[in-house]
Amino acid sequence: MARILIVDDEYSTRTALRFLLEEAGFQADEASSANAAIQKLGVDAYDLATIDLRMPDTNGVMDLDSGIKLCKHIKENYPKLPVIVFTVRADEEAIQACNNIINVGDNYITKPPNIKEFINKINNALKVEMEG
Amino acid sequence: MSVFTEKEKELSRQLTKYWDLLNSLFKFSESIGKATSSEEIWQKVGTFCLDTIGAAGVMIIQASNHKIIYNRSVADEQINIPLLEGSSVEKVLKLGGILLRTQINKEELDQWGLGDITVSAFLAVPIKAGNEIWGAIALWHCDPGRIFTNEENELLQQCVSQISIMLMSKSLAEAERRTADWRRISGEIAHLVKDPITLIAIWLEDLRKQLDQRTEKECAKIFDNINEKLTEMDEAIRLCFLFSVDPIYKRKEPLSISILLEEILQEFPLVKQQQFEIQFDQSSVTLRVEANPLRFRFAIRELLTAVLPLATSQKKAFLTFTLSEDDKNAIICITVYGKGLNIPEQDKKNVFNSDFFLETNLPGFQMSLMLAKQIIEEHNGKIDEIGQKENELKFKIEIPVWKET
Repeated sequence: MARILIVDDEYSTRTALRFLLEEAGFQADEASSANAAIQKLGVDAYDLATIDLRMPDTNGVMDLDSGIKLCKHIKENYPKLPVIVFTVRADEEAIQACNNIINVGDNYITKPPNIKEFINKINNALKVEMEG
Repeated sequence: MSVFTEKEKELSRQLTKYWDLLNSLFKFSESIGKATSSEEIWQKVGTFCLDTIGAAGVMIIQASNHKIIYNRSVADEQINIPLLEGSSVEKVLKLGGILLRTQINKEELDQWGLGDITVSAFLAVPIKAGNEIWGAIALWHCDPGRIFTNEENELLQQCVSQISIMLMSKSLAEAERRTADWRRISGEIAHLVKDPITLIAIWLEDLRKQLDQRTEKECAKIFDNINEKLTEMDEAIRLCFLFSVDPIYKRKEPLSISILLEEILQEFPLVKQQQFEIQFDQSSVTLRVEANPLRFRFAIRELLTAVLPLATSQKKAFLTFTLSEDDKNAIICITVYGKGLNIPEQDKKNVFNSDFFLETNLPGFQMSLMLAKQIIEEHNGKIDEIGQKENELKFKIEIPVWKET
């Protein structure tokens, strides 16, 4: 059973995604910030991470910094870990910033997420990783 | 595997539903762009609301001060779907929508049985007709603050979300007002959505484009200007769903007092629970009603609401309807007193004109008098302004009596 780390600052979103993923047969874990995710990644092994790129910084201001920081950390320490990122609609800046670090390709989901699309992308990413 | 509490399961189900609804909205927004007329849009909106959420309510909010000026929503049809955690501009933007911050006071919310929920935001998706931005479809959120927290009791508070429509601009609204057959359109919509769909007001797509291209801090500044811009839409909002089809006034034959009273009372469940006195004597019936005018809007609508726009500057309006039957002339006389607005002398001759508007921020449909006149004349009756004293305005409405045998 694939184990997925959900990184999102919103409690409701994390809970719903975790619920949906487990209903779809995955094992899911949550992190509410980039720092929390880095800690979890250091302790447990995951097969995939979903990351909300825009999360509040320490001052509560939404920006890309923490999401990008997490992407960098994953690239440096877990280069084979597939990542799916969440962005705002038409948030080219976020996609571009993320692509500068890791190759996101089609592995991004715009909010509000389409659940079917979300699950499909996770399955595809896991499949690619296994075949790779 | 995780163990989910019932609350978490419910949260997940509802949030998923909310995401689906939002995605439907975006899809709808794109599809409706092919519409070529406002009538087509209204129809599509009605169908969409029914298909998507089953029902909602009809609501008009005056943009300048966010006062509810019309509401036909039905409490048990309200849709309980979760909102965002918190309701910050940034988080709404994360869902790709547009947040309009608004505030409606508790007293007004109490009118609609919304308890102590605070209306704080709605999310709008712009819609186009051809190449023209016509308005926006909005989800309206009643947000007690933070909807979802780790506290289970917070979840119980829920938000109420309704679908709304806002017209684009004053000029567009003006064009609609002059050209559209509002009574027919509202009738069609009323048929489509039955009774309820919520209507509010709008947002501009170009603003959305601006927001897409700006940083969130810049967006926040834009939001600060929203209310100013919305004041331009006063007239537009007055336009939306001005009138619903009222069974009383669809009838072309003259009315009898007893039928009129019966139907008014049917339309008046809220009033009946409040101060409502009715006195009968041999030849006259006096209705004395004291209630918040917002409640009246539900009920009396066209004919009897003709004066409500003139009576809403005070929290407690006081209206007296005197119905008397003159056997000889077979006329029902309804004398309507409204308090709250003084019509300038030079404007009096124009009050029944379709383009009569007062420079005022009072909530209300200033086409009411024109439409009321139209309705009354359809019944072979007449309406006259018979007096004005300070902030009190008096009309006399005469309708031929249908003699009961």
